[in-house]
Amino acid sequence: MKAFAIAGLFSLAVMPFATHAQTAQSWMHSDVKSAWSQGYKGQGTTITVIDDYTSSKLLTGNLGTGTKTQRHGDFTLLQASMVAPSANMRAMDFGNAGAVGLNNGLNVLNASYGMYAANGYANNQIGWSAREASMISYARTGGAVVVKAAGNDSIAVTGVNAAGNADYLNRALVGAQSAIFVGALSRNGSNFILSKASMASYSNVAGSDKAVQNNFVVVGVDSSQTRLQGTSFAAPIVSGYVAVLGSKFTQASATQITNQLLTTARTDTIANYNAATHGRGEASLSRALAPVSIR
Amino acid sequence: MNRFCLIAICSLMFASPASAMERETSWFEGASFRQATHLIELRQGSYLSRNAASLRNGGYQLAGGEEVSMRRWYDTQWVDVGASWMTQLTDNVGVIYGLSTGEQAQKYTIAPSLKLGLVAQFQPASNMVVSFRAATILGGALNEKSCTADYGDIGGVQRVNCRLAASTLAPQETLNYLVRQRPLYRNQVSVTFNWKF
Repeated sequence: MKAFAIAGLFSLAVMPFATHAQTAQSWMHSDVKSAWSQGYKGQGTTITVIDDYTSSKLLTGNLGTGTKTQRHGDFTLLQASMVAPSANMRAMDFGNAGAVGLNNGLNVLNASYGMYAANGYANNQIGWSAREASMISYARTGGAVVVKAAGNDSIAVTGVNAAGNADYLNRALVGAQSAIFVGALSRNGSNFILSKASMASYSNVAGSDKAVQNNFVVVGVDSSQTRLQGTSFAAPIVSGYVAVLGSKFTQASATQITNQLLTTARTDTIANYNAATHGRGEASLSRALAPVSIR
Repeated sequence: MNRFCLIAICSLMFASPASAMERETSWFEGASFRQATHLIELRQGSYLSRNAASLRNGGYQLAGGEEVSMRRWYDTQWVDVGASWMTQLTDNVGVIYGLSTGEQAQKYTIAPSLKLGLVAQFQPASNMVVSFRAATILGGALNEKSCTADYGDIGGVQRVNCRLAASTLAPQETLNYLVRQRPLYRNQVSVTFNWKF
């Protein structure tokens, strides 16, 4: 008998906060602002954000475009588009359970949600919709980069939360060649001793599974700037990074882009870095864009 | 306009019969070459030198975190030096010629240059002098060289603009931004009118 996992969003409490709309926003890492000076911002790539765009559940936050009260997906889509504004953005609502289609060029699938069911099932016992089945397949075959929010239960990505549920989408993506789990730091890190960032208290961590650690990165989710908390708002940042990378390395595969972002993640910007908590470290767009050597 | 500059101004050049072109210093009329020759320009640095100097600002980190400073590629031990002379051929005609050494660093060169020109004057009235000056610079171009960057599995080894290798630009795209500049005011023509009243 198949179990059915229920989609759960990864946002936490939000509060109104006003800032001025700018091209580069204060919540963005300085890497992004620097990258933008060169003009390439994700063109030739497609980011598909699978999320809630139709429910009556609203959040209030400010990504620098003015305080907005809108749906979870409206925020995650906006956030990814702000990091990679030249990327082709596609919104796919939870109401559409069909397989995720891919465009030409690099495809990034942003999943700022989890698929929850009671712990105890094997992954192959889950009755995946065509949507999640296609995402899992793309991640395993390198057809697209699947960026998955780690979750907000302060547990390991593959762990069991206080309600006894597990995120089976997380579990299904473990070991997939082009999947990236994204946890949240409380803010953007820096290698200055006093500016190193810590894991956000709510964020899920990589855990002891090496396969998860290898595909796990963290980024800053500065709720003091946006009033938006949750790994939901970490994943779109990484989705934007992936798109910017894809616009530079136009011949690279989804797996190569994934590996580039994972292998260039920084550990020196994180306080008390630990692979079981932070995985590969803080995703660094500037290092991912840079050559290994030059002469 | 930067390649061909026409200037009509009142200037001190040839303004007075007591200028460098006096009868006794005309080479064709008995003065020695040395007597008829005047240093008219001696400089170190140039518009292109300053542009090249600006290339050495900044740097970036490689994928592994190692710092790359542009100074290692764009610092020079020698800044372009140029000198020009005028040799008076007759009372009213002289030739201009000059040289510059050029400069180079690991990732750019400013080629040596040769300046050639002619200067002439005539007096339409006893209190008026009209002078004409034309000069051209041969060589002296600033050319930036490329680097070879290894992007690993994601991009392989590629020729790139050293300064933009870590930017969001595609590696081959960065080559479009290599600096290629000719000297400012490569060809100059000036007409000077001086009227004493």
